[in-house]
Amino acid sequence: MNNKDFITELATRSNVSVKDAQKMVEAFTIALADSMEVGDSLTLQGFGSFEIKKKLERIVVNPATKQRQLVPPKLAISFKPGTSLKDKTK
Amino acid sequence: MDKKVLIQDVTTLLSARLNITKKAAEGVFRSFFDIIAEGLIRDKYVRIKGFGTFKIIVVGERESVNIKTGERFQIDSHTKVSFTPDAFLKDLVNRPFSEFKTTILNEGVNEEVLDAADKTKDNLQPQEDITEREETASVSVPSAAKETEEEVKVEDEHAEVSEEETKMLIPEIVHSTTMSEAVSKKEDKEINTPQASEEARNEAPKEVEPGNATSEIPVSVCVPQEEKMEVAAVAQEATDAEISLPSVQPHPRPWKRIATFSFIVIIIIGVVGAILYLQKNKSPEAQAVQQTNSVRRQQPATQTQTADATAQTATQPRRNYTILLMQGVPEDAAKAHVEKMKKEGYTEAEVTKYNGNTAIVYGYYATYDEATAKWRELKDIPFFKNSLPATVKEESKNQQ
Repeated sequence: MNNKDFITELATRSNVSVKDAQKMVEAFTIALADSMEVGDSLTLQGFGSFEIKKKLERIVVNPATKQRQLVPPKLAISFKPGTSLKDKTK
Repeated sequence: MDKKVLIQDVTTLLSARLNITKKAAEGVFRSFFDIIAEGLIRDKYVRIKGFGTFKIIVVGERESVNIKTGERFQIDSHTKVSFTPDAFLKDLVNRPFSEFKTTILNEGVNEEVLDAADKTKDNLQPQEDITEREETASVSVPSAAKETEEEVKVEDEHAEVSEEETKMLIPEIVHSTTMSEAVSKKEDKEINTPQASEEARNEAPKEVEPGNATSEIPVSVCVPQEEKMEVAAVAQEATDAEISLPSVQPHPRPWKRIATFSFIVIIIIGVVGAILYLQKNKSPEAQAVQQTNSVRRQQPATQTQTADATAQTATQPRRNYTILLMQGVPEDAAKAHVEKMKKEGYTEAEVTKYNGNTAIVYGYYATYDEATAKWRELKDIPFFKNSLPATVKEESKNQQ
């Protein structure tokens, strides 16, 4: 299901226009990012939880050029599916 | 900092942003994830632009060992739901670390060096936090293993790195300041570290807590860009870090102490000086001098006349002028000297008190001019070498 389908589906279900649905998705994304930034994980009952994880800096070697590089640390989102979702998709 | 966000919070946020009722927002919310679930079941793949991609991944069979018994058993194939955030969301979340960039390492910098640098950080005042302790406990490789496998190997080496440097990210700004200062001070000469560490500090405070620590791999505050160039230098000076840091930290304070101390010293000196000065002034002769001087200069003429009258009653006329040979000498020496002079024929030599000091004077004269005239005659004589005409103080007042 690509993005277009998703948005359309969302629009029909919530009785809003496609544009509004798109906006909702954006708003949700930002809301999620905000809570992540503060350090809170977002748990959706039945669906799963979005957590934020820190990734360490590490040294990598470019296999082609054999050059050593340092990748800086970063924050990343990780998702843990909830039981219902896992069951549904078994 | 690690509280779980409730759906209500998010729906409230949504409704606020979009100007729709909370109920409507909640409805949207629910359908959002229902659709994702349905899409996954149908297509095994759902892509939401700006948000991310949910995929179903099939994990094949594999063998594993029962930890307790040691017996092998089979893990069946099963499905996993994976989520990959879109670039937009990734950047949003990574804002605190947005300034860091991948840098090229110089020759000679390797994991060992990094480890050494971080080991010294261990010795720096570790500030305690429960979550920190958790992290510390989980530092070892197993925690590294929780991350994706590709990172495991490198993680091993950086396990210690991470552990300590996590502390920097903990929203204890002071601590992070310490750490980043540690690093930065070392590299101060070389790079504009303060900038970098400040960034880390400013952005890190509200940082994702290692309370998410249940899982993770603590993250180190990266020395951004150019800084890493100098990692070698850091490591070399790493051992110095622990020594210098304690002294670095209380940096502002010694100045305060020095200032207060010197201030006190100055006050003491001032007081002592005042006391000495006052002591000098308080001597009786000094007072007499001041009083008699003023009297004398007003009426020298009358004084000389009355002096003559009183001269016979007083032991000797004093309200006149004389030639002062020396003062401030011990009485015995003065007397001996006067005897000497008398033998030579200078019978008018005498020991007396001048300004409170024992002094040798020669002759008494009615006017200053007389004294000066006599002095001129005598000044070339060895006895009178350092002499000068002087005003004589009244004996009576002297004895006060």
